[in-house]
Amino acid sequence: MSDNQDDVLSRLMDGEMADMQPSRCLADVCQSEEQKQKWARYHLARDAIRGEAVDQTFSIASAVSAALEHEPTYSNVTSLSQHSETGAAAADQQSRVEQTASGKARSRWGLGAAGLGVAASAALATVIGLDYFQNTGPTAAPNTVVAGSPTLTLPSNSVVNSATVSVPGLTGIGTQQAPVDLVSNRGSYWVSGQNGQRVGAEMRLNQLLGDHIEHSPNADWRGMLPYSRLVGYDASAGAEQ
Amino acid sequence: MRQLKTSLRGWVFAAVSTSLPLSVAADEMDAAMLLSTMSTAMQTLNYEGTFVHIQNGHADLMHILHANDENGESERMRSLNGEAREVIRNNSLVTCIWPGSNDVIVNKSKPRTLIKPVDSALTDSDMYLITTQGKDRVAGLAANVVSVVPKDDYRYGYRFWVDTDTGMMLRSMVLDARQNPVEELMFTSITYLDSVDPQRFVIDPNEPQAQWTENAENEENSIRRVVDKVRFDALPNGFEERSETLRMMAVRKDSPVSHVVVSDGIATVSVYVEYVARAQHDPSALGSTHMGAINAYGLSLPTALVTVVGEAPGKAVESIARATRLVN
Repeated sequence: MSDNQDDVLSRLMDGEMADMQPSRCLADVCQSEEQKQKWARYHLARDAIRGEAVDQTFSIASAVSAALEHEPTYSNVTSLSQHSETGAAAADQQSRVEQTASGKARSRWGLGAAGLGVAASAALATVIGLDYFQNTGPTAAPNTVVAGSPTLTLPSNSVVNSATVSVPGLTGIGTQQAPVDLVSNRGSYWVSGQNGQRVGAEMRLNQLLGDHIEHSPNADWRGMLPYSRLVGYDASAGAEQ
Repeated sequence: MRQLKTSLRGWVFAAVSTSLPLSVAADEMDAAMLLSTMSTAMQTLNYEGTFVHIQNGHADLMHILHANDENGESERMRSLNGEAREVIRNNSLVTCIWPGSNDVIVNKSKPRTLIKPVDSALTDSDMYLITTQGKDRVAGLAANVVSVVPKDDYRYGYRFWVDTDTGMMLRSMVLDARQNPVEELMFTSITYLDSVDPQRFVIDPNEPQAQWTENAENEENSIRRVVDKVRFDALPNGFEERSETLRMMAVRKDSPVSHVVVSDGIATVSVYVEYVARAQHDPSALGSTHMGAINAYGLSLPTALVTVVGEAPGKAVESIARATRLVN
């Protein structure tokens, strides 16, 4: 796998889709067994890190591939049967053959577009779902990601520019890119128990916490690891929020 | 390295075989022994690794280097994400550096002690149920899992993944009363070393020199002493006062601060009492705050500001703050 492909997977995981065509990237992922497995491993690792139940038999890429294969035929052109019912009976056999060929070609296109639409919706739901996980506390229920049912419209330059897919819980995706959630802006910080807002005088609390860690009998158990709380603290974190 | 591992296991088994109370349940004994092994390994091994730390729904990747030689323990931990925040600790000082804000906090380090091979605080605790939870695999290494379950909601639960070969802690979780993780730490890679170059613990001279905040007392200014200026009306069940000192701290440069350590044997909180009149209390220092599993509570008394900080649920921290009384 090339570095570029790794980068695409990584950006899909991180929701960094500003200059990407997620549906096309997803289709590429589904065509490569190696990429599918890698993507599944990424999700497995993230689930494990977050302490969530891990279904090792579930493959996101395979699920999307299956959605592509089983998506019913879709076309936004008039069907052949409608042609015959509305007076196309006078056309000759050759014309029928041409129309049939044309219709099939359009159907295949429609199938691909709709399939990619489903794939894109799955990819976006996945990516945005992951972004949701990154922005929420550990007690939030993962299955609350989907609520409500506004319509998702993909970008006009997308492969699936003729499709409109619904992804519950999302509004305006594709027409308005969310700001990239930089790692540099995501450190930990002190939060008020009353209103959940960041509090002032954090350095004072850090001074007390540092002193507490050093004098706590817990340090005899876990060595320096409790200091990860102070290392995780970022004075600039949350400035964008 | 092989020699070190062998000697570590030998120390633990020898100590355990000569000191086990017969009444201790076998599983609790195994679990307590694993925690003791973990404590010993983390203080005595030389190791270097990368781990993920998750709190407040945010994952941070960190690097740790630990050495134990004739000069004692030396440790260095650095964030690999965002700004290179780090903590460097040796047998005299703990230095916390935040390059982005040019803040540096220096504390005097406290000598660590090995926990007992079978600590009665663990095996005879009325506050926790400690059990083994089978085997697992972390960072490519086999691990035994130990579960510490609290019997009420005034303390957190814990799970530890302990390297079956070295006793090193490979993963830990802090759990709330509903067994939801509030904080997690997991090694993604770890290497056990024969020795570590001391130069790797030297602070970069280019680190920020501004805003150094020293909690460490210097010789002429040290007034640290054991006192009895703070009492508690009623602490949450199982919590007891373990120590009380009066010393100068950076948070209050003009007068000494009382520091009381309160613990149930596992959960520990610190009670800091600054002797200043209520009119001088900073409103932002009052009420409850938290960062991951750490909770803090500030309470204004007529003649003192009480701040309780510790790895315990907010309910326990607030209860301890409200139970604080001053002795004239």
